Amino acid sequence: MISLRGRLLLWSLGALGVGAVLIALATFAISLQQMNEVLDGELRQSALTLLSHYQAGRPADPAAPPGGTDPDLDSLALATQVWTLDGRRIFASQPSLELPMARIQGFETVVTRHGPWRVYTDRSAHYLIQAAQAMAVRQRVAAAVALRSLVPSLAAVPLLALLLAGALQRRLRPLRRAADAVRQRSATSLEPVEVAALPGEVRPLLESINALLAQLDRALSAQRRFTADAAHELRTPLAALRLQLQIVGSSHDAASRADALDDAARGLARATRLVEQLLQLSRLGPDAPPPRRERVDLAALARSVVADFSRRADALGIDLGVEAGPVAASASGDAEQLRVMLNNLVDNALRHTPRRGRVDLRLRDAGRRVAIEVADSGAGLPDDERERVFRRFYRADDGSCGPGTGLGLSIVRAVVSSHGGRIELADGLSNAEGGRGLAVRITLMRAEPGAEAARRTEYHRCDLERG
Amino acid sequence: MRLLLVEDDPMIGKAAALGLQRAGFTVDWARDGRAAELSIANGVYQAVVLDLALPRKDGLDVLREARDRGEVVPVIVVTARDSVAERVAGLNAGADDYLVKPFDLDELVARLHALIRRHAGRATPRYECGALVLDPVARRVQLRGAAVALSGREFAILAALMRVPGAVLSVEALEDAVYGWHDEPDSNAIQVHVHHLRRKLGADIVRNVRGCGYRIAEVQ
Repeated sequence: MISLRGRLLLWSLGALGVGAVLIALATFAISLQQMNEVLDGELRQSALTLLSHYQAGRPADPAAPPGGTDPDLDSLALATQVWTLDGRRIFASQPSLELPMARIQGFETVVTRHGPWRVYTDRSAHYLIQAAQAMAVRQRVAAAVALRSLVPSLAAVPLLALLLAGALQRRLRPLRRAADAVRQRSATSLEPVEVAALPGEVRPLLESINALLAQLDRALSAQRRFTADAAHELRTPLAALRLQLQIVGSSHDAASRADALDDAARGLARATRLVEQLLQLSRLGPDAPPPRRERVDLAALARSVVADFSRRADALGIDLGVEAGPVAASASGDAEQLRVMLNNLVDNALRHTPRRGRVDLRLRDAGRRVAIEVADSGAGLPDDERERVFRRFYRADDGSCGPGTGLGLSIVRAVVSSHGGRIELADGLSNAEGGRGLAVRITLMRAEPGAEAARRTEYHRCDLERG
Repeated sequence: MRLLLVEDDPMIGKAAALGLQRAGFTVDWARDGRAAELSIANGVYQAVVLDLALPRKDGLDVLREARDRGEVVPVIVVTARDSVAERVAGLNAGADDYLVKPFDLDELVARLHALIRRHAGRATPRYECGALVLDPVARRVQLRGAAVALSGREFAILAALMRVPGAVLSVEALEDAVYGWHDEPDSNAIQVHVHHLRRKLGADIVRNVRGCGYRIAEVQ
């Protein structure tokens, strides 16, 4: 693959060469024409001079060359002939040159046995004078001039080649620098590359590279932040677990040891749950693949989730149920992700609802979409917290029963946004203590009529009961 | 020795409180920043274990304001934030020590004892009063080289009396040092325990200062 520079040089020098040749041809033509004008003038002048001699009655007496020699073709010497008007050649400076007696006055080119000759004919009352010159010599001189003009042109070619190469080299150096700069970028240094010094044609490419670098930087930073946050958040469950195990070690009677082991088991469950949720979140990140688009029967999913949580709800003394009504709700999405989403919503609701409270899963028609809502009768969420609550690791400031990880709503939001749905927070079920409760309403797109039904996936529940 | 544990996480709090109690401390457990603030202001604690990420009020603010008010109680900060900047901020806000989660219970106990003895103006870990030696960490008492068996409350009262050499502690002060929020001692519980101490160590060891309280005397 010839480089851009090589190709540019080749084309430029080719053009230069063609130009030089054209100039040479033009020079030849122009020189020839000018020579013709000058020499024709001389011819005419000679003929007129000779004519005036004959007019004056003085027959010219040029030294007649010895006969039989060939006419001189190589010099610019003129050949002259004099005729009488009745066609008798009375003088010829080069007798072997046979020029026909012309009838017309003026210039003409005659092809003779010895090549083309330029002839000027003039006449007086009694005589006809002809002056002639070989054309060949004119052409030869013109050619010589043209060729001489070619020499500087051709000499200029290597010089121009050098200049062109040097100029290209200099112009393309910023490009090479930019290429080096891009090569030096790595996962840890993703600053944009300088574009100011680059030629206009290449700038768009580098600007696209810079945009890509910025995108990469953002993605990597987000990932790093997530990892750092996750590691930080794991400290609390692990600290609890460490202390709990030390308590086991210092418990010497069966009852206290059993209690301590029980606590340690709950601590481990909490740590495990955090890790599971972190995994779920990492799979739902901005660079995750788009979800499957299957037909998911939301009513069946809701009932299945409620069944999974019913034992824990009973243990907490909370009334958990589904209010599906006659709504035939099939959403378009990934059944497993939607189940994860509902699990997190119900888990949150159970944590924030007191004993004898209530948690409802409701399905609703929403025109072209279908809505599923989880409403609890807990303390609710003040309006100013409703935006902050989606942030990763954010825990509501209300001393809810049982610590959460702060990731549940982040996961819910990630699933909703990857499905192109909407999420809203509103007041839920009011309770006896005046709390407004919280309702989390998710709207999803309905399933396409021809979409495939979701397969029943066996989702690993990870100790939903212990919580 | 009475300790304030400030920790919002229920599992960590429960395990830490239990562990510290088993190490001989009387532990009061506050679960948010406001409760911590009010408790510290009571001024009855020998040390405070303070978690920084608290609901209702941030731990560093609680610490800073307590120091501004003149509270000199030793504070050990326990937190998941471990960058150098955060440690420096914690120490500059008035913490006496900084422990990062997850931490070891034994290490927490040792650091607490170190803080408490330094605060009481002593360099050696053991409290000595002549021939009476009390080791707060190992929870041992020796009189003239012989070990003495004491109950938990007796040990706590003796430690409170020996912590600052020559100090006189009133009955109320001894109650504050030995009983937590959830204990409901009888009105003469302290006197009963002092009586037991005198029986085990000798009548002269715990002196009555009329109208003021009790004091440990130099023991030969």
